[in-house]
Amino acid sequence: MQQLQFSSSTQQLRKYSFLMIPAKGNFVSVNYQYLYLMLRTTLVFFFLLTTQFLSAQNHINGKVCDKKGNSIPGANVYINNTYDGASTNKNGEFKFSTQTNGEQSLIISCIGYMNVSLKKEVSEMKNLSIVLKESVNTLDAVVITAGSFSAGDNSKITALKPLDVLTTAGAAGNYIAAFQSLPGTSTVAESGELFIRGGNGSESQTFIDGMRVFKPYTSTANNMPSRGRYSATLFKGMTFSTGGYSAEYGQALSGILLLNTKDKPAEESTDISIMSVGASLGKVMKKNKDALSLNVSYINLAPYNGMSSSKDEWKKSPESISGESVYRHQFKKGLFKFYSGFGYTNYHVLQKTINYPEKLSFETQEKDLYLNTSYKGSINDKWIINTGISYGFNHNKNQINEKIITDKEQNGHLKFKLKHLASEQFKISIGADYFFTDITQKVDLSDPIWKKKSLLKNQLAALYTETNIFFSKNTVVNLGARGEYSDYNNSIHFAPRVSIAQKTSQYGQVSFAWGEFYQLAASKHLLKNQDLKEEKSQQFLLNYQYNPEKRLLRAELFYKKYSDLIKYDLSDNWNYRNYTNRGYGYAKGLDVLWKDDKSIRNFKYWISYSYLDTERDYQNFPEKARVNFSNKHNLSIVGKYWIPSLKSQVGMSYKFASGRPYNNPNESGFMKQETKNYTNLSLNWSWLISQQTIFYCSATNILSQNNIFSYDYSSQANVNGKYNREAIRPNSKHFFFAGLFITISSNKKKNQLDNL
Amino acid sequence: MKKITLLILLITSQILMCSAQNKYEKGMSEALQLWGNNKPMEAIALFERIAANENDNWLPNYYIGLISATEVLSGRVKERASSLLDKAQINLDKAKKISSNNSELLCLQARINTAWVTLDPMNNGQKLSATIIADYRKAILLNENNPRPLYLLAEYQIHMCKWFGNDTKPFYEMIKTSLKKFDNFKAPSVFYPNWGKERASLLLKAQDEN
Repeated sequence: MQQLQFSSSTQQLRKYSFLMIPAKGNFVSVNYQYLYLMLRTTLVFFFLLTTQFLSAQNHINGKVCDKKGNSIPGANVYINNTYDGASTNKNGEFKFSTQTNGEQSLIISCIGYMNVSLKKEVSEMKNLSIVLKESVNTLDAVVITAGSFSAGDNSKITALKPLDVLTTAGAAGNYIAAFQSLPGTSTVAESGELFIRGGNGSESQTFIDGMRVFKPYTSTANNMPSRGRYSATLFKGMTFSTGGYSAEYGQALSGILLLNTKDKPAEESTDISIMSVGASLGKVMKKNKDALSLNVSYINLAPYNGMSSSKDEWKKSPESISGESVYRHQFKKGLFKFYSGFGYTNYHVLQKTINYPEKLSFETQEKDLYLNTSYKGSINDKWIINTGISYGFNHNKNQINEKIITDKEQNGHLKFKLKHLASEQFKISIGADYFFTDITQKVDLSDPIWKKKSLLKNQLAALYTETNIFFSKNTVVNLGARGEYSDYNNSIHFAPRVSIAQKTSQYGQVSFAWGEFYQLAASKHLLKNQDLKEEKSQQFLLNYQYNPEKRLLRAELFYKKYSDLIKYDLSDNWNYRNYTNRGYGYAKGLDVLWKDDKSIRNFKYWISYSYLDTERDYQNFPEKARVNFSNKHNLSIVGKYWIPSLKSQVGMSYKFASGRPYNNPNESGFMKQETKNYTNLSLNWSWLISQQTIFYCSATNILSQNNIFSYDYSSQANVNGKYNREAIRPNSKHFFFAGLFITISSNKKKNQLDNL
Repeated sequence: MKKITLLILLITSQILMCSAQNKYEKGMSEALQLWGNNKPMEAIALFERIAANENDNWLPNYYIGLISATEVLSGRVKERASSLLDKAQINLDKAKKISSNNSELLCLQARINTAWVTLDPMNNGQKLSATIIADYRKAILLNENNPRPLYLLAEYQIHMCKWFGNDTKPFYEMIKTSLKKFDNFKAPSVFYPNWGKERASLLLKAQDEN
């Protein structure tokens, strides 16, 4: 083989030796080899000469521009199946020579544009003028932003990064609290739920990996804020829609919250957290295509109840044990996820209420189980399948003095969705949902007359479709429709949704959304009266977004019209009568968000402001009036400063909300009074002690404001003919949280920064 | 006679292959030269043309990814950085399809992710650090003779340690090991990745001077 030394690579050597093993044995092959070599040298020489003679160089030149005639630099122009080509210069011009002849394909490709192939005689490829069409599949293409905030990786529509959600002062890892710092939410601090644009907490729905969550908030005592039930560390992205959301989702009059669990952990680790309110233990395991994350935590609020100067007397402090697991399996063409979570909460509190001279005893035990499986994968290049099942079981026992209310609730969701990527410009999806609800409520009192059992069973089926059409990279239209059939009242609804976005400048864009939304009445009403129709809202949104690098300005005008709201008479505290769907209302306003990560080094901040004007005539309202869960003005300022020398991030968040309406029966008119303004300044500090250990602490209401959420009035007038009242205040004025988060892993570089 | 026909056929095909091979070699050297002469975008364009012709060779796609990531890591590009990294990822994915479980491609994956980290250290660092390190480790396991993942992992860890104020010593030991491997490294073909030694020596020198 030494004779082949001129061959420049070992690969070539192998190729040749393979070719030269003839059937007849080595001897012959050696002969061939010499002959071959001799011939080859001559032939190569001959071949080279002839090609030099036969193919005189053909010169190709031209210019590449876009539709408007602007030249495109950096485009790659070449003859197909050859290496002959060049890049365009800054004037969009190119020139190169080729030895090919006859008809050839000239390919022009450039990032952000669609490829062009030009078939032509090589000799005629002179002074070409080529126009490239913009591709819609680019990073700077228009995106529909009306209504939604995303906390994820997609830079374009991201208002908050996952880390922002977790390091916002006062949020203490509660993703719901972080979203409350965005515009479009009202400050209803005693509830903890999301109140979106004049809607109450039950007007929004939460989804994990596209599947419905049935009990997103933990059960709490009267006027004690609940938290999001799930630990934020398991999620990689969250989208918060304050209106005009996709036809893929339904049963929410105001907005939705989409949570997506993390796909694949990078490595195995053990996480330990020791907090002033409890402890948690997490473990991540990984093997080839399978991964399992487990998380167990115990929370006890006893330390705080001692601190608080509240009117409540705790017999048993809120205590909860919860566990979560996420299992993932990577298939060749898709990802399977199985999420499960369980929680057990109990407490016993004696609360003073205005109507009773003695304290009332509230005792609660709640058990909750939630299972969610989902699969997302591709069938081929053009089809994507998305399917899943979720199931929730909740058992809640509430004892108020001798009265025991037991709620047993089972819910399920089945989903199937197909998405067809017909072309870059056109995508269509169709899907179906099936939901079931099974609720049993039992009321027990020592007096058997009061014994009562109510049942609610419902099935809901939905079909939806959505098309996404890009007219250019500057214009996109999204058309959707959702049809729902509900079996308990035999009703069919059809909800159309439209959204349009138009890019107005390099960083600016305008979007508009319109849609109709339906939601079943709250189960507490359905349990009493099953002839109720769905409540309805219609929403109009107009959004402007300006998004230069690391800055974001977002303004949105909205109008929401409510109809078919539940109305009833309340003859006394216990009897509801005359249920109808005759309620109505509206909400309109403006949301503004300014976010800046750039102006000051190591400092990021955002300012959000919402103006809200809303009125309703619903429930037992005598007339149209403002609702008690709305603030006209809401302002939130969040700042985070990273101090490299201290390896610390210091954060602050300030919240201002104008007063909330309340009804004073001593005055004329309904809902005419307003509480004083609400303010809260929170601070936090996270310190990276080492790569494995983080210390985090936060404190709320630094300025010690005496905030009042609302007033409770007695149902009976006193001897002077006046109704007594009592202010509803935060359970504890301050909340202080400290925790130590430790990660033990084979890789020392991963810390628990994302657990904060 | 039959044999002679066969022979001629064989020879002609050999010549064609040979000229194709030469074309490939010429193209690759030219592209690498363009990169060497500080014309990265032109180099990428030529590598793209080569990649379009070489459907079962991962190297052209590898170099497109490598040049793109290096451009971003050098800090020379700002505005187009994320689209350049997206391009790098697309080409790396193509290369991965051609050659799976390739130690060099894992290194490139980690380089691309490192470039993302430099663009937004606070968010991307937290998100990608573990993946970067895991990829380097996997690359080391896949080819124990490959010095690059060892050196790159050490370099990444040194940056992290400096930031956290931790001891960097063990990682300089890793660089020393990698330099020994660099000395013994024999590229299996002409255009096979063979870079990093100078930078590794410089790093070690910088430590000695401190």
